[in-house]
Amino acid sequence: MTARAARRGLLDSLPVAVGYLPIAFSFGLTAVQSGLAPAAAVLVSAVVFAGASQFLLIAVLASPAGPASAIPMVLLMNARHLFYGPSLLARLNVDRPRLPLPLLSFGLTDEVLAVALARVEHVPLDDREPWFLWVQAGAYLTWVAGTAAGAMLGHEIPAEWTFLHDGLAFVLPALFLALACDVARGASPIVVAGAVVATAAGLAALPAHWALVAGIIVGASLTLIPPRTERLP
Amino acid sequence: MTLATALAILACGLGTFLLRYVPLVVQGRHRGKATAPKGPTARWLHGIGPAAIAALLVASAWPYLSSDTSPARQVAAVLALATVYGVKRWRGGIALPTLTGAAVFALFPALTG
Repeated sequence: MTARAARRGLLDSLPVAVGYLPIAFSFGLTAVQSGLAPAAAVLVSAVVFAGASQFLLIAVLASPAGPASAIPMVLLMNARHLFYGPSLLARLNVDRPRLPLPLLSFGLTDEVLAVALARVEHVPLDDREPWFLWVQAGAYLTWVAGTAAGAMLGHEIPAEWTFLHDGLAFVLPALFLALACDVARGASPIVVAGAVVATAAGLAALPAHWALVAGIIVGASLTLIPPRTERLP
Repeated sequence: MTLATALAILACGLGTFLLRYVPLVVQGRHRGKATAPKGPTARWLHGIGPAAIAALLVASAWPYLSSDTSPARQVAAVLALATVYGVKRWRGGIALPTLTGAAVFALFPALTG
Protein backbone atom coordinates (compact mmCIF):
# COMPACT_ATOMS: atom_id res chain seq x y z
CA MET A 1 0.00 0.00 0.00
CA THR A 2 1.77 3.14 -1.18
CA ALA A 3 1.97 6.41 0.68
CA ARG A 4 1.03 8.10 -2.60
CA ALA A 5 -2.26 6.20 -2.77
CA ALA A 6 -3.00 6.94 0.89
CA ARG A 7 -2.29 10.65 0.47
CA ARG A 8 -4.38 10.87 -2.68
CA GLY A 9 -7.24 8.88 -1.14
CA LEU A 10 -7.37 11.07 1.95
CA LEU A 11 -7.23 14.21 -0.20
CA ASP A 12 -10.08 12.95 -2.39
CA SER A 13 -12.12 12.13 0.72
CA LEU A 14 -11.82 15.74 1.92
CA PRO A 15 -14.99 17.07 0.24
CA VAL A 16 -16.95 14.10 1.59
CA ALA A 17 -15.48 14.67 5.05
CA VAL A 18 -16.46 18.36 4.96
CA GLY A 19 -19.97 17.35 3.94
CA TYR A 20 -20.21 14.62 6.55
CA LEU A 21 -19.08 16.69 9.51
CA PRO A 22 -22.26 18.77 10.01
CA ILE A 23 -24.55 15.80 9.30
CA ALA A 24 -22.67 13.53 11.70
CA PHE A 25 -22.64 16.34 14.27
CA SER A 26 -26.41 16.74 13.88
CA PHE A 27 -26.84 13.00 14.17
CA GLY A 28 -24.86 12.85 17.42
CA LEU A 29 -26.84 15.73 18.88
CA THR A 30 -30.20 14.32 17.74
CA ALA A 31 -29.36 10.87 19.08
CA VAL A 32 -28.54 12.21 22.54
CA GLN A 33 -31.64 14.43 22.52
CA SER A 34 -33.69 11.31 21.64
CA GLY A 35 -32.46 9.63 24.80
CA LEU A 36 -29.55 7.59 23.45
CA ALA A 37 -26.33 7.56 25.47
CA PRO A 38 -23.37 9.28 23.71
CA ALA A 39 -21.61 5.90 23.52
CA ALA A 40 -24.64 4.37 21.77
CA ALA A 41 -24.74 7.25 19.26
CA VAL A 42 -21.08 6.65 18.41
CA LEU A 43 -21.73 2.89 18.21
CA VAL A 44 -24.49 3.50 15.63
CA SER A 45 -22.16 5.58 13.45
CA ALA A 46 -19.28 3.15 13.89
CA VAL A 47 -21.19 0.00 12.89
CA VAL A 48 -23.97 1.24 10.56
CA PHE A 49 -22.22 4.16 8.76
CA ALA A 50 -25.22 4.99 6.56
CA GLY A 51 -26.40 8.59 6.99
CA ALA A 52 -30.15 8.92 6.64
CA SER A 53 -30.95 5.42 7.86
CA GLN A 54 -29.21 6.22 11.16
CA PHE A 55 -31.69 9.04 11.81
CA LEU A 56 -34.49 6.56 11.12
CA LEU A 57 -32.87 4.06 13.49
CA ILE A 58 -32.73 6.46 16.43
CA ALA A 59 -36.29 7.63 15.75
CA VAL A 60 -37.51 4.03 16.00
CA LEU A 61 -35.33 3.32 19.05
CA ALA A 62 -36.89 6.35 20.77
CA SER A 63 -40.43 5.20 19.88
CA PRO A 64 -42.51 2.56 21.68
CA ALA A 65 -42.21 0.27 18.61
CA GLY A 66 -39.29 -1.67 20.09
CA PRO A 67 -35.67 -1.93 18.89
CA ALA A 68 -36.22 -5.01 16.68
CA SER A 69 -38.68 -3.15 14.44
CA ALA A 70 -35.86 -0.81 13.38
CA ILE A 71 -33.92 -3.58 11.63
CA PRO A 72 -36.13 -4.17 8.53
CA MET A 73 -36.73 -0.43 8.13
CA VAL A 74 -33.02 0.38 8.13
CA LEU A 75 -32.21 -2.46 5.74
CA LEU A 76 -34.97 -1.47 3.31
CA MET A 77 -33.69 2.09 3.36
CA ASN A 78 -30.16 0.90 2.59
CA ALA A 79 -31.20 -1.64 -0.08
CA ARG A 80 -29.89 0.65 -2.84
CA HIS A 81 -26.36 -0.24 -1.66
CA LEU A 82 -26.85 -3.63 -3.37
CA PHE A 83 -26.00 -1.94 -6.67
CA TYR A 84 -22.87 -0.16 -5.51
CA GLY A 85 -20.34 -3.00 -5.12
CA PRO A 86 -20.57 -4.40 -8.66
CA SER A 87 -20.43 -0.90 -10.11
CA LEU A 88 -17.34 -0.10 -8.04
CA LEU A 89 -15.54 -3.33 -8.96
CA ALA A 90 -16.19 -2.67 -12.64
CA ARG A 91 -14.56 0.77 -12.31
CA LEU A 92 -11.61 -0.32 -10.17
CA ASN A 93 -10.74 -2.51 -13.16
CA VAL A 94 -9.02 -5.28 -11.22
CA ASP A 95 -9.45 -8.96 -12.06
CA ARG A 96 -8.47 -10.21 -8.61
CA PRO A 97 -8.75 -7.68 -5.78
CA ARG A 98 -5.61 -7.67 -3.60
CA LEU A 99 -7.35 -6.22 -0.56
CA PRO A 100 -9.97 -8.26 1.30
CA LEU A 101 -13.43 -7.52 -0.05
CA PRO A 102 -14.82 -6.64 3.42
CA LEU A 103 -12.35 -3.74 3.49
CA LEU A 104 -13.46 -2.57 0.05
CA SER A 105 -17.14 -2.75 0.92
CA PHE A 106 -17.48 -1.60 4.53
CA GLY A 107 -17.57 2.13 3.80
CA LEU A 108 -19.40 2.05 0.49
CA THR A 109 -21.80 4.92 1.15
CA ASP A 110 -23.55 7.09 -1.46
CA GLU A 111 -20.93 9.80 -1.21
CA VAL A 112 -17.91 7.49 -1.14
CA LEU A 113 -19.21 5.67 -4.22
CA ALA A 114 -19.81 8.99 -6.00
CA VAL A 115 -16.24 10.18 -5.30
CA ALA A 116 -14.80 6.81 -6.30
CA LEU A 117 -16.66 6.71 -9.61
CA ALA A 118 -15.80 10.31 -10.45
CA ARG A 119 -12.10 10.17 -9.52
CA VAL A 120 -10.99 6.58 -10.13
CA GLU A 121 -9.95 7.21 -13.74
CA HIS A 122 -7.34 9.71 -12.49
CA VAL A 123 -5.72 7.09 -10.23
CA PRO A 124 -3.02 4.71 -11.56
CA LEU A 125 -4.30 1.14 -11.86
CA ASP A 126 -1.99 -0.27 -9.17
CA ASP A 127 -3.01 2.41 -6.66
CA ARG A 128 -6.76 2.09 -7.09
CA GLU A 129 -7.56 -0.36 -4.31
CA PRO A 130 -5.48 1.33 -1.57
CA TRP A 131 -6.65 4.72 -2.83
CA PHE A 132 -10.29 3.64 -2.46
CA LEU A 133 -9.57 2.22 1.00
CA TRP A 134 -8.27 5.63 2.11
CA VAL A 135 -11.21 7.47 0.55
CA GLN A 136 -13.44 5.29 2.72
CA ALA A 137 -11.21 5.75 5.77
CA GLY A 138 -11.28 9.55 5.52
CA ALA A 139 -15.06 9.57 5.23
CA TYR A 140 -15.58 6.98 7.96
CA LEU A 141 -13.31 8.58 10.54
CA THR A 142 -14.94 11.97 9.96
CA TRP A 143 -18.38 10.44 10.33
CA VAL A 144 -17.56 8.76 13.63
CA ALA A 145 -15.63 11.77 14.99
CA GLY A 146 -18.45 14.14 13.94
CA THR A 147 -20.99 11.97 15.72
CA ALA A 148 -18.89 11.91 18.89
CA ALA A 149 -18.50 15.70 18.77
CA GLY A 150 -22.24 16.21 18.26
CA ALA A 151 -23.15 13.79 21.05
CA MET A 152 -20.79 15.41 23.54
CA LEU A 153 -20.61 19.08 22.48
CA GLY A 154 -23.72 19.70 20.35
CA HIS A 155 -25.61 21.64 23.00
CA GLU A 156 -22.80 24.23 23.22
CA ILE A 157 -23.16 25.56 19.63
CA PRO A 158 -24.97 28.95 19.69
CA ALA A 159 -28.40 28.65 18.06
CA GLU A 160 -27.87 31.90 16.15
CA TRP A 161 -25.05 30.42 14.07
CA THR A 162 -27.54 29.32 11.43
CA PHE A 163 -25.30 30.44 8.54
CA LEU A 164 -22.72 27.85 9.60
CA HIS A 165 -25.32 25.10 9.70
CA ASP A 166 -26.81 26.19 6.33
CA GLY A 167 -23.45 26.36 4.59
CA LEU A 168 -22.30 23.00 5.86
CA ALA A 169 -25.63 21.38 5.03
CA PHE A 170 -25.35 22.58 1.41
CA VAL A 171 -21.98 20.88 0.98
CA LEU A 172 -23.59 17.64 -0.22
CA PRO A 173 -25.55 19.04 -3.21
CA ALA A 174 -22.47 21.12 -4.10
CA LEU A 175 -20.27 18.03 -3.88
CA PHE A 176 -22.61 15.93 -6.04
CA LEU A 177 -22.73 18.66 -8.71
CA ALA A 178 -18.93 18.89 -8.78
CA LEU A 179 -18.73 15.10 -9.11
CA ALA A 180 -21.48 15.05 -11.75
CA CYS A 181 -19.45 17.49 -13.87
CA ASP A 182 -16.59 14.93 -13.90
CA VAL A 183 -18.75 11.89 -14.56
CA ALA A 184 -21.02 13.53 -17.15
CA ARG A 185 -18.10 14.00 -19.55
CA GLY A 186 -17.80 10.27 -20.24
CA ALA A 187 -21.41 9.28 -19.65
CA SER A 188 -24.29 8.89 -22.03
CA PRO A 189 -26.52 11.99 -21.77
CA ILE A 190 -29.60 9.79 -21.92
CA VAL A 191 -28.48 7.91 -18.78
CA VAL A 192 -27.95 11.13 -16.84
CA ALA A 193 -31.19 12.69 -18.09
CA GLY A 194 -33.15 9.51 -17.34
CA ALA A 195 -31.79 9.33 -13.80
CA VAL A 196 -32.55 13.02 -13.18
CA VAL A 197 -36.13 12.78 -14.46
CA ALA A 198 -36.87 9.48 -12.67
CA THR A 199 -35.45 10.74 -9.36
CA ALA A 200 -37.36 14.03 -9.57
CA ALA A 201 -40.58 12.19 -10.43
CA GLY A 202 -39.92 9.72 -7.62
CA LEU A 203 -39.32 12.49 -5.07
CA ALA A 204 -42.79 13.85 -5.79
CA ALA A 205 -44.39 10.60 -4.66
CA LEU A 206 -41.89 8.48 -2.72
CA PRO A 207 -39.46 8.74 0.19
CA ALA A 208 -36.03 9.96 -0.95
CA HIS A 209 -34.32 6.57 -0.64
CA TRP A 210 -36.84 4.92 -3.00
CA ALA A 211 -36.65 7.84 -5.42
CA LEU A 212 -32.87 7.26 -5.51
CA VAL A 213 -33.37 3.58 -6.31
CA ALA A 214 -35.82 4.50 -9.09
CA GLY A 215 -33.38 7.05 -10.54
CA ILE A 216 -30.46 4.61 -10.49
CA ILE A 217 -32.40 1.73 -12.06
CA VAL A 218 -34.06 3.85 -14.76
CA GLY A 219 -30.81 5.67 -15.63
CA ALA A 220 -28.70 2.49 -15.77
CA SER A 221 -31.40 0.63 -17.71
CA LEU A 222 -31.26 3.26 -20.46
CA THR A 223 -27.80 1.87 -21.32
CA LEU A 224 -29.67 -1.18 -22.63
CA ILE A 225 -31.16 0.80 -25.51
CA PRO A 226 -28.98 -0.07 -28.51
CA PRO A 227 -27.15 2.84 -30.15
CA ARG A 228 -28.89 4.15 -33.27
CA THR A 229 -26.36 2.51 -35.64
CA GLU A 230 -27.02 -0.92 -34.07
CA ARG A 231 -30.73 -0.58 -34.70
CA LEU A 232 -30.31 0.01 -38.44
CA PRO A 233 -30.65 -3.11 -40.63
CA MET B 1 -28.24 1.28 26.59
CA THR B 2 -30.21 -1.95 26.95
CA LEU B 3 -29.07 -5.25 25.48
CA ALA B 4 -32.00 -5.18 23.01
CA THR B 5 -30.95 -1.72 21.78
CA ALA B 6 -27.32 -2.78 21.40
CA LEU B 7 -28.35 -5.92 19.48
CA ALA B 8 -30.65 -3.93 17.18
CA ILE B 9 -27.82 -1.49 16.41
CA LEU B 10 -25.41 -4.36 15.71
CA ALA B 11 -27.98 -6.14 13.50
CA CYS B 12 -28.54 -2.95 11.49
CA GLY B 13 -24.77 -2.60 11.09
CA LEU B 14 -24.31 -6.21 10.03
CA GLY B 15 -27.23 -6.07 7.60
CA THR B 16 -26.00 -2.83 6.00
CA PHE B 17 -22.51 -4.30 5.69
CA LEU B 18 -23.90 -7.42 3.97
CA LEU B 19 -25.89 -5.27 1.52
CA ARG B 20 -22.56 -3.76 0.47
CA TYR B 21 -20.38 -6.86 0.74
CA VAL B 22 -22.39 -9.74 -0.80
CA PRO B 23 -22.86 -8.20 -4.29
CA LEU B 24 -19.12 -7.42 -4.32
CA VAL B 25 -18.32 -11.08 -3.55
CA VAL B 26 -20.73 -12.34 -6.22
CA GLN B 27 -19.33 -9.93 -8.81
CA GLY B 28 -15.73 -10.65 -7.71
CA ARG B 29 -16.16 -14.38 -8.40
CA HIS B 30 -16.97 -13.68 -12.04
CA ARG B 31 -14.20 -11.15 -12.75
CA GLY B 32 -11.72 -12.29 -15.38
CA LYS B 33 -13.65 -15.50 -16.05
CA ALA B 34 -15.80 -16.61 -18.94
CA THR B 35 -18.82 -15.90 -16.75
CA ALA B 36 -17.83 -12.24 -16.30
CA PRO B 37 -20.66 -9.87 -17.23
CA LYS B 38 -20.49 -8.84 -20.86
CA GLY B 39 -22.71 -6.96 -23.27
CA PRO B 40 -25.88 -5.57 -21.73
CA THR B 41 -25.00 -6.56 -18.13
CA ALA B 42 -21.60 -4.88 -18.33
CA ARG B 43 -23.19 -1.79 -19.90
CA TRP B 44 -25.82 -1.73 -17.16
CA LEU B 45 -23.19 -1.95 -14.41
CA HIS B 46 -21.21 0.89 -15.98
CA GLY B 47 -24.41 2.92 -16.23
CA ILE B 48 -25.03 2.69 -12.48
CA GLY B 49 -22.26 5.17 -11.67
CA PRO B 50 -23.44 8.16 -13.71
CA ALA B 51 -27.06 7.34 -12.88
CA ALA B 52 -26.27 7.17 -9.13
CA ILE B 53 -24.45 10.50 -9.11
CA ALA B 54 -27.21 12.21 -11.10
CA ALA B 55 -29.84 10.73 -8.76
CA LEU B 56 -27.90 11.77 -5.65
CA LEU B 57 -27.53 15.31 -7.01
CA VAL B 58 -31.27 15.63 -7.58
CA ALA B 59 -32.20 14.07 -4.22
CA SER B 60 -29.76 16.26 -2.26
CA ALA B 61 -30.71 19.51 -4.05
CA TRP B 62 -34.45 18.80 -3.97
CA PRO B 63 -35.10 20.21 -0.45
CA TYR B 64 -33.56 23.52 -1.55
CA LEU B 65 -35.36 23.81 -4.90
CA SER B 66 -38.81 22.30 -4.37
CA SER B 67 -41.93 24.44 -4.09
CA ASP B 68 -41.98 23.96 -0.30
CA THR B 69 -38.85 26.11 -0.01
CA SER B 70 -38.88 29.91 0.30
CA PRO B 71 -38.00 31.83 -2.92
CA ALA B 72 -34.95 33.42 -1.21
CA ARG B 73 -33.61 29.99 -0.35
CA GLN B 74 -34.28 28.75 -3.88
CA VAL B 75 -32.36 31.71 -5.32
CA ALA B 76 -29.48 31.05 -2.91
CA ALA B 77 -29.41 27.38 -3.96
CA VAL B 78 -29.44 28.20 -7.70
CA LEU B 79 -26.66 30.77 -7.25
CA ALA B 80 -24.63 28.33 -5.17
CA LEU B 81 -25.00 25.54 -7.74
CA ALA B 82 -24.09 27.96 -10.54
CA THR B 83 -21.01 28.92 -8.53
CA VAL B 84 -20.03 25.26 -8.18
CA TYR B 85 -20.36 24.81 -11.94
CA GLY B 86 -18.44 28.01 -12.72
CA VAL B 87 -15.57 27.29 -10.33
CA LYS B 88 -15.44 23.70 -11.58
CA ARG B 89 -15.06 24.92 -15.18
CA TRP B 90 -12.55 27.58 -14.12
CA ARG B 91 -10.27 25.71 -11.74
CA GLY B 92 -11.31 22.05 -11.88
CA GLY B 93 -10.96 19.78 -8.84
CA ILE B 94 -13.65 18.84 -6.35
CA ALA B 95 -12.93 20.56 -3.03
CA LEU B 96 -12.72 24.18 -4.21
CA PRO B 97 -15.97 24.20 -6.23
CA THR B 98 -17.78 22.37 -3.42
CA LEU B 99 -16.65 24.68 -0.64
CA THR B 100 -17.14 27.85 -2.71
CA GLY B 101 -20.70 26.80 -3.54
CA ALA B 102 -21.47 26.03 0.11
CA ALA B 103 -20.02 29.41 1.15
CA VAL B 104 -22.21 31.25 -1.40
CA PHE B 105 -25.29 29.46 -0.06
CA ALA B 106 -24.40 30.29 3.54
CA LEU B 107 -23.51 33.94 2.93
CA PHE B 108 -26.29 34.83 0.46
CA PRO B 109 -28.90 35.69 3.15
CA ALA B 110 -26.40 37.87 5.03
CA LEU B 111 -25.33 39.71 1.85
CA THR B 112 -28.88 40.36 0.68
CA GLY B 113 -30.15 41.39 4.10
